[in-house]
Amino acid sequence: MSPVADITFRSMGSDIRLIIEAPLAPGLPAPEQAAQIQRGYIEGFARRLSRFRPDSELCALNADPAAEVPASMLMRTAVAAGLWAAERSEGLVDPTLAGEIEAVGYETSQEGSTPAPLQVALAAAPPRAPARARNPARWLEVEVDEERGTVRRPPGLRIDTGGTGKGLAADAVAHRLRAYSRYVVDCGGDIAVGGVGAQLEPIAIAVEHPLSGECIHTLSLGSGGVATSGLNVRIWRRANGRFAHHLLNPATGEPVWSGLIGATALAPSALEAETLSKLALLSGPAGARSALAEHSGIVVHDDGDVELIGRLREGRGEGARGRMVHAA
Amino acid sequence: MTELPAKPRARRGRGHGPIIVAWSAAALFLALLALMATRVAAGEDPALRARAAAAPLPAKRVLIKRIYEKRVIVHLPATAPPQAPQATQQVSAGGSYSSGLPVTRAS
Repeated sequence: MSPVADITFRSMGSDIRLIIEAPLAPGLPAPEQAAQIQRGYIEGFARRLSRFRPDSELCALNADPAAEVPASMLMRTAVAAGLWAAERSEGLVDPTLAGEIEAVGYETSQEGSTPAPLQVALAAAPPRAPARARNPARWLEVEVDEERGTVRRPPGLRIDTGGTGKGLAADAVAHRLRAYSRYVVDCGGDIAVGGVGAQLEPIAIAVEHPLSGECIHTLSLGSGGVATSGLNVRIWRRANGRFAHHLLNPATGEPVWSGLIGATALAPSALEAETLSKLALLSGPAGARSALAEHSGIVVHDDGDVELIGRLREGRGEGARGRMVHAA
Repeated sequence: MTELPAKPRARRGRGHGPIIVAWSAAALFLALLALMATRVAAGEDPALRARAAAAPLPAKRVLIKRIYEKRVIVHLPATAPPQAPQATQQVSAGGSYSSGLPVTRAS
């Protein structure tokens, strides 16, 4: 049996990849067996928190007419993660936009559908502007009560945990794998890395260009998370002929066209990396430089130009922004 | 003058002949109608069959497999830059896997 398990499967509408190396203590499941156990966990996670399954816990919460609803630990954690992301992004990554995302056409899973061409959508998009937080903020009306095991929110206010779901899942599985020497939990590009071995021998992670699919940078992570948000995958043409994607401006409820088409963030956790990558993309070029300065990151502009931010920029020296050659 | 007895007038079919012809035609029509109805019900509409025979064959359907090709291009600078703590251009031997590097991308 191989000492390294490396499996890929579909869940959460994405490719999920688990890489697990040797356990640090005897008696733990072998890497291959551990990978299958964590696969089951992720599939359960996705099933219980799906916005598209009427029988999911999330749909039950959103349909409940009571103001305070009993919720499982997973449900409470997912809502708390969404609220944490909203606070971290000052309301730009907003978990209360379930109605808005459905209104622009994302009502069902897009699994298997072909994305609309991004460059055509960019040509037809309105003038670029950064997103703004919703005022008044609805997410401030949502509370998680760990003592009572409930979620409180005004009846009818629906929650979408999808904006932070993959990062949270990656962190949760990483925590479950902490007794293994090295592991990579890749939930659709939102990645958590850990293990003592990874700190000694970091793991290389490629960053993909949203237009060409080429590797534009290779990161080397010993621990923590990295995540990428982009407009190139969940993008479609609406019934009115206009293009839409899944990253909404909370102030308007409409897709944001900020001048960026992709953002990659490094952070101590995958959840924070996912939050920062969304924050960067929603904020536009100037806001992204600020959002990614602390932990570093990469943004891709509308014209395909790649810009390194933070330590990545220092590592590359001057001239870090430059046109990357990509396929037509 | 002796009158010849009047010849009895031929009464061939007069009165019954047209009725028989009409009934026969109607019966034949109904029989043919029933036959065609049976064939149509069985899916053998001659009109459709003729049209189908004249129509070109449907285009051959080709199953297109989606092939994910992961291309990893490492850009090595001409002059070695100072290495950042968490981001480098080097791919450590221990950091690579047989099925390729992990990739962060939008999903």
